[in-house]
Amino acid sequence: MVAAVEAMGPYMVLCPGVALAHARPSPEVLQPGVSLVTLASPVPFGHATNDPVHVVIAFSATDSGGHMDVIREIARFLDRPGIVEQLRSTRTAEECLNLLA
Amino acid sequence: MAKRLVVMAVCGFGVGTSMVLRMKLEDVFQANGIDAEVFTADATTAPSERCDVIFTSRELAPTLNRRDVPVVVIDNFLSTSEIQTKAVPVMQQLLGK
Repeated sequence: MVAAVEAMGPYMVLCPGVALAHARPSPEVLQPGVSLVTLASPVPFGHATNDPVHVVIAFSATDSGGHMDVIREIARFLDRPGIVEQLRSTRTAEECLNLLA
Repeated sequence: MAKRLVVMAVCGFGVGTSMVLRMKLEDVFQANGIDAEVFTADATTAPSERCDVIFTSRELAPTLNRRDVPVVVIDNFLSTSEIQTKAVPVMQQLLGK
């Protein structure tokens, strides 16, 4: 992912404060999955308008078509007004999961 | 019959960020009555894919080296208003409206 940012720029910084980290779908991916990390110290990715990043969402996909539903869910989740601020203010995994529920 | 435009959404690997963009573009086109086919591509294949218009990030746009079609830069891939403001005029122009 670091190599991707260095080579292609911080395109994965989707919207202010949020990066969607992922690699290419491949047979080396064991199973589809999603994870979410909130950063104690925000990280600048070098994005002109969306820096710094407070929340990193990672997902893995085994093929390029089957994860559309996951992407849709992630986009719908991030569309909620104030969600990034809410995620930033969580201090425990449980608080974070409650927001996802 | 109205022409159906082919739209390419580009990110580094063509599966994550561009997929979000494709979804938002489809929503905006539907809401504005624009008939278009949206597909995703990665930064490596995007320079040679056939399409009518390209949507991508600020950093990737110049690397695609496309002068044959409009390349539209989107900063916030989740912002319906930004995508609507930038995409609808380009699409209407391409459709000759």
